[in-house]
Amino acid sequence: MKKITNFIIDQKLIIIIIVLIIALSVEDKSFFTVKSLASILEHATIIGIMAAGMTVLLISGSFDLSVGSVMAFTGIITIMLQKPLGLFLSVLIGLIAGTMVGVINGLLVVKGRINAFIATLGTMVIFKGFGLALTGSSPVKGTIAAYQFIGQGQVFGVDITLFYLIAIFIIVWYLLKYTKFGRNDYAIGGNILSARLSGINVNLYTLYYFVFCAFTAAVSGIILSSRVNTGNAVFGDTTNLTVIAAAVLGGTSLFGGKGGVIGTIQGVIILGLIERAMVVFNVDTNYQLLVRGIIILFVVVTDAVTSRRKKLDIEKGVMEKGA
Amino acid sequence: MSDADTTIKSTSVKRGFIKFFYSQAMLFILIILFVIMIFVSDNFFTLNNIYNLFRHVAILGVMACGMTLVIIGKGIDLSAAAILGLSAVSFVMIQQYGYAVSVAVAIAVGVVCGFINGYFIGKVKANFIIVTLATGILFTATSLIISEGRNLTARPLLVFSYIGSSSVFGFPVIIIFLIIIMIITGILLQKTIAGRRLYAAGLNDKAALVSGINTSNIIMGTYVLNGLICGIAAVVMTSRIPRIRVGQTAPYLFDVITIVVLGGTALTGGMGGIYKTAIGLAIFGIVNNSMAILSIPYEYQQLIKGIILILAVLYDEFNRRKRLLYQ
Repeated sequence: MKKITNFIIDQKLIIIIIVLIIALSVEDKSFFTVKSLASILEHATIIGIMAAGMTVLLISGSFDLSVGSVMAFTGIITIMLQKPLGLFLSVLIGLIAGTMVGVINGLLVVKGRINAFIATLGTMVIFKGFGLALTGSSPVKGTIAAYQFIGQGQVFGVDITLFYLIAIFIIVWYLLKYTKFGRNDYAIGGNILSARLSGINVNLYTLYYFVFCAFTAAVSGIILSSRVNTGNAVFGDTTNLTVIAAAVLGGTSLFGGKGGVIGTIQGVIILGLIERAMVVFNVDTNYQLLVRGIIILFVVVTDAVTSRRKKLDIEKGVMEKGA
Repeated sequence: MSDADTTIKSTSVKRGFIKFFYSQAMLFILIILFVIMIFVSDNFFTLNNIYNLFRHVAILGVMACGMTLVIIGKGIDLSAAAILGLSAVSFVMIQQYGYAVSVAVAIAVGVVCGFINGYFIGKVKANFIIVTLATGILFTATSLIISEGRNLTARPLLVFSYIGSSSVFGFPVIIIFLIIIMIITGILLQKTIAGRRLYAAGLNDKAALVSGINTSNIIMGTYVLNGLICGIAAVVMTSRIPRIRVGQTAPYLFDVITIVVLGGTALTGGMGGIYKTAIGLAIFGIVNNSMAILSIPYEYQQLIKGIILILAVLYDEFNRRKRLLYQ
């Protein structure tokens, strides 16, 4: 019996996904096709790519609220530079500008010793302000038609963005599992003091993780601005929460040291399915917001309860062994 | 007295002075800002403008009191603006039953919201950032649902606008209200057992727990009180701004956190107080007021506020290191 309950707790995400897919297939007969399932991932690309970066950062025990602003800021820079600099250079500079925010975040946390929450809250407001100031509070339109291919192009009948998502997840999975970058990530998140004592350059690696997270946000910014061919400072106002929710839903702990992208992709899929379900079941937008809030609350509460239960189990095990 | 004694005495005086300087750094910044603004603008140092300055930030000041309690307990409440919004919407929707009833309902809504936060954070021990982000969404959604997304107008009865627009002996009631709230929370923090326990719990919750303090109750209490204060702030807000639109309160959150952090209440918990928040509020008010006087566009105002927040935190950290050196 205990095995079954443990199995359900460990695989709760897969079970939720299956239940959601069945419910949706019953309601919407055309739902259960490869194309329709792929479209859920396509919609979730922007959140998914950022969630991969956020996972890396969360594992190290840090936190980034500025991803939404970075996303909007990158889009604005890229679109505005298209005319004078051309396609390639504008995208490059956009990516660099977005990634620089990660450098600033990282330096504030590592060198300034500021709490990651406050530092990224500050940069979130600052770069949203930059975006508003640059655009004069009105959206800017793209001028190069080829730019739209980045976010709207189709390859083999599916959106090209799907391949970015898969590529980023494979890269992050590899980085976390087989490289020093990933091992140090878990070590720092698990216990920062012992990581430092065992000779890991904690400051440098934490900086890397902030930069990586901002980089994924910048990539998302390019994709989003290309998809709608617009740069707008109000994009991504609540993105940070959705991104963190996807990662946490996937089992990445907010306290660091635990998690991975396999869980995160499941979290992204669940959020995408719920989004679709609310459209299929014709839920009013205000109630959609309510549902989203309840889901996130549910996730964080179950995370707290299960992690405490596991801790209790371990303590009990130690005591039994001791006796 | 020998030479050596004098040197020791003078260095200790010097140390004491430096320690005082670093501990009151924000007060000096406030004074410097004030003096600069007197020279920059003739309109700044008039009684009317000073009243205006505080009238504008009064709601933020009330909310900052609650946020100070939460932050001293090593938490943060990201749903504060949403609680304010929900309380204000409930207040306006119930107003036909009379002022007393609607005030009671607004405050009760705030307490219930605070209790939800406090229960999940204090008792269940879920992460406070995500819990309050999620409940923030919940409260906003609830206010959208009950108001059906309409703009609401508080009925222009005299009693409704009393706090917001009247004066006693030329002194605005809203500022008196703010001062009273500050004094009450200040006494609560400094002079009561619960307040001292809150500092202990924020500084080191394990140590507080083993010394017999029920930390989860104390932490839960801070969120409930914050909800209560947000409910009171909603009453103040509706008296000043009769037109309520769901979502208009959202920017308040950043401002409230900025005020508390500007004052020097550290996010690491266990430090700070209402006195510091009052200084933070005054600095924030002056910055806000001067940006209006110098007619800086809205977009840049946000930018400037963000930079001020970052600089304040950096400065606070720098100070902390210096203070430790001189202890």
